[in-house]
Amino acid sequence: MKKRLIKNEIGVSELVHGMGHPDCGALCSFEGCVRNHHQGRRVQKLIYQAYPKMAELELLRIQEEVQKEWPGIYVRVRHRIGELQVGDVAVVVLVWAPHRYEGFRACEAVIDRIKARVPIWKKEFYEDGTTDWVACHHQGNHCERE
Amino acid sequence: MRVKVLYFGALGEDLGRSGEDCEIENGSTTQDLLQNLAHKNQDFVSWQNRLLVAVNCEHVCESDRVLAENDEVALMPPLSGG
Repeated sequence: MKKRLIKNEIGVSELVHGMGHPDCGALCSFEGCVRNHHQGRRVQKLIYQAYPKMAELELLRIQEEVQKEWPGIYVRVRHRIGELQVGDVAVVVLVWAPHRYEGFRACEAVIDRIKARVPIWKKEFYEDGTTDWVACHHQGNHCERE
Repeated sequence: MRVKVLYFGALGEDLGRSGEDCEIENGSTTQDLLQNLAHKNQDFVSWQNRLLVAVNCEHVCESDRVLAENDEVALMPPLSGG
């Protein structure tokens, strides 16, 4: 199974140019980056921890669900784990679509579902020397869809 | 029966371990497992009602999901990926 969780820098250019979809007129993308602040605190770096085999399965499930919900689109997702610095790209979502309408909608759906369902946790390290595990307030929707 | 329990994020940090094997009665549910863990470990008590649960890599929403021998149960704090 192709790895969607990776430790090294995400090669967006390789992901984009490695795919040929002449039936698509739109490529919509989302890149989530490490921000230098969170709730008023200055972030120095962070660490992503995952439940790897479930995270891989959920990323694949989300990709396949969204491709099915918007026929004609192609989805690619990569999420980094391990230590990241401010400015590093943590997650990439690419959606090729016949038209931009479904491309934008599908791209948003993918990242929303990643946040709600993929077992990944973020621990932030602050400039004042403290650390904290972040709790995402967008998660929990996986139960509503059952 | 024995199930494998995994701890992640702040939960694993609080408990000081990433998982353990747990002996529970046949027919136990996920709720029974959580109560069992809270009974054995005071550090787990505050987490009992704040966790997401996955069994064999699938999210489980119902608290009365019956577990089976060798199930892998992931106890997960609120997610923060993406």
